[in-house]
Amino acid sequence: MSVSTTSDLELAEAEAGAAVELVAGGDIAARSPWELFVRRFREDKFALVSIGFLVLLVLVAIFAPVVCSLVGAPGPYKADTNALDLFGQPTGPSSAHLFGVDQLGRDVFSRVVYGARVSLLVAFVSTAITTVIGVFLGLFAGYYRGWVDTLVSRTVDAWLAIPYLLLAIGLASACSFGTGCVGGLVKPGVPVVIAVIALTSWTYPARIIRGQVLSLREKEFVDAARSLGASNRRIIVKELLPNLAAPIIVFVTTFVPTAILFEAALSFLGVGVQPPTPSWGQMISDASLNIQSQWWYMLFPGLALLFTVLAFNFVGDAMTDALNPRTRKS
Amino acid sequence: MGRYIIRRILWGIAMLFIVSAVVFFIFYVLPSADPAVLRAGRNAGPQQIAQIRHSLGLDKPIWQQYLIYVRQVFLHFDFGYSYQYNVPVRQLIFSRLPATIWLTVGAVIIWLALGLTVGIISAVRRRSIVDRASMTTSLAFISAPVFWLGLVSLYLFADDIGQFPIFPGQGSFASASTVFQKAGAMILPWCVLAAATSAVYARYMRASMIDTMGEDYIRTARAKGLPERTVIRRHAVRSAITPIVTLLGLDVGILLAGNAILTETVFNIPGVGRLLYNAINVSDLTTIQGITLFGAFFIVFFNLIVDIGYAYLDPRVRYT
Repeated sequence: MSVSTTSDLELAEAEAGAAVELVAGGDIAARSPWELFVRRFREDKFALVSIGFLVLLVLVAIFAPVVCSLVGAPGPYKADTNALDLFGQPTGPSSAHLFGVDQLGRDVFSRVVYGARVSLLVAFVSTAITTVIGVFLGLFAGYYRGWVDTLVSRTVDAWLAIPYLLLAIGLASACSFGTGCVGGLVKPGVPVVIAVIALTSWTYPARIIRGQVLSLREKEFVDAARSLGASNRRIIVKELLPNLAAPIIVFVTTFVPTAILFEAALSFLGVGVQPPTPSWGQMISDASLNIQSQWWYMLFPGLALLFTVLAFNFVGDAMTDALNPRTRKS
Repeated sequence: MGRYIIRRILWGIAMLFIVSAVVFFIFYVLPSADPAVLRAGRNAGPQQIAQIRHSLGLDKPIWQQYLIYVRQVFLHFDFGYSYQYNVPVRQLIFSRLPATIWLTVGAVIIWLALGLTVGIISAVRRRSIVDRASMTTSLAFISAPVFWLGLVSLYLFADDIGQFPIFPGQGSFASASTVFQKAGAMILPWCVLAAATSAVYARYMRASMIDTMGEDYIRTARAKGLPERTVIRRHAVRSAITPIVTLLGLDVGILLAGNAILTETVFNIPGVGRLLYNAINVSDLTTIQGITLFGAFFIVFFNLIVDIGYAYLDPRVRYT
C-alpha cells in the first residue's frame, strides 16, 4: 500500500512540476530521475491503458468468487450435466454460461476467472524467485570475480546449453511423475511450475547483473566508499544495489509475461498445473481435442492469455524506454 | 587460428561432461519417488521394475550410478532405452529428426525474410506510422501463445475442420508422400512457428540498425555523397546483421533439438518435439531424459561449429 501512495504523491508532484514549468516559461526545472521516468512513461498511451487492464485483472483474480457470483456463474469446479446437450456434448455461450461449458459441463467463464489467479500467482512468485537468485549470483560473481565468477559463469554456460523448453520439461517431469522432488519438498502442481520456471530462467538476470556489476565496481564512487573503510557487504548493499534498480526493474517487467506464457506452455503439455485446478494453458489443451464444434472453450482462455501477456509487454516496453532514453521509440 | 580451434574444442568436450552431469542431477537426484518405478512408466509389473532397477544399477550408491551413466553416454553413445517403445532412445530421435528439420528450415526462411525486412524498414522510417504500427503488431505476435495461435489457424484455415478450408490441416504431414504435399502440409506450421520469432527478429534488427545508423562511418558514407539506398544496403545492413547471425545459429539449434514441441504437438508433426510430448503423456521418463541430453549435446556441437565459423569470418574473435 505504501508504495502506491508514494507513487501517487510523486505523480502529483510531477504534474505540479510541469505546471510550474509552463508558468515560468523558459526556465529549466530540476527533475528527479523518478519524475523524468514518470513523465516519459506517461507519454505511452498503450502502456497506460495496459496498466488499467492489469489492475482490473488483479482485482478480478483476488475477488474471483465475488466476480463469479455477480454474473451468476457456478464456480470453476461444479460439473453440471444439465449444461450438456442431449448427446452429452458441451453447449456454447448462453445467458446461464457466458463463455459456455467444457466437456464435463463446467462453466468456462468461472474457469477463466479462476485461471487468472493461477496465472498471476505463478508469474509473480516465479519472477520474484528468479530475480532474487539471479541478482544474488550476478552480484557475487561480478563483485568478487576470481573463482566465484568462474563457477557462476561456467554454470550459466552449461545451463544455457540445454534448450530452455527441454530443460523445463525435464525438470517438470522429474518432479511431476512421482511424488514430487527434493525429497518430496516440491509437490506436483503449482509449486513444481514455480520451481521449474525459476530454475530454468535464473541465468538471464544473473548474466545481466554480472555484466552491470563488472563495470560499476570500477567506478569512482565505489573506490570512494572503499577508501572510507566501507565493508564489502556495505558496498554491495548500499552502493551497488541502488544502481542496479533500473536493470532489475526492466528484467522484472519483461519477465512476468514470459513466465505467464511459460506456465501456460507447461500446463498445455501436461507437466504444469494439474487438473482440476483451472489454468489457461491446460484449458486450451483440453479444448484442442475438439476445436471445430467447441470453439468457445479454446477461444476465451486464449484471449485471456493474449491480452494479459500483451498488457504486460506494453508496460514492460514503456518501462524499458522510460528508463533507457537511448532506445526510445518517440 | 589452430590454437583457437583446439581451445574451443577442449572447452566443448568439458561442456559435454558438465551438461551431462546437469541432466544426471535432474533425472537421478531430484525425483523423490522410486527411480525404477518412474522409468518403467505406467502399467509395469513388479518383475519389470526389478529388472530395470538392476540393469540401470539403481540399487547402487549414487556415484556408481553416475559412473554407469557416464560410461553409457560417452563410450557407447547410449541415450537410454525407452521401455514404452522397446527401442533405444537414440534410434527414436533419429527417426523423428527429418520432420523437425522440415519444420525448422521453412520457418527460418519465413522469419528471416519477414523479420529482417520489417526491422530494416522500421529503423529507416523510425518514429513513422509504419514503425509504430509494425512494432505494436510485433508485440502482439510475441504475446500470443504459439500453441493457441496454431489451434486458431487450424480452426480458421485447415481443410478438414476449418471455417475457410484452404490449407492442409492437422496430421497431414505424416500422411504426405511427395515433396509438394509435405511442403503444403507445412504451410500453417511454418507460419505459426515463424510468427513470434519473426517479431523478435524485427525488433532486434530494428535496434541493431538504429545503433549502426549512428556510427561515424555511416556519416562518412553519406558525406562522400553516396545515395541513401547504398548507405543503408551496403554499409548499415551489412554490419547491423552480424549480431543477428549469432542469434540465428542458436535459435536454429534449439528448434532442431526439440524446442518446437508446441508447434509439432498442435499440428501433429512426427518430429522430435512430438516424440517428447508423447513421452510426457505416457510418463516415459527415460525418453524425456534421452531427448534432453541429446538436445544439450546437439547445442554444444552447434555452438562449437558456429564459433569456429565465426572466428574464420571475423579475425578479431580469435585473439580475445
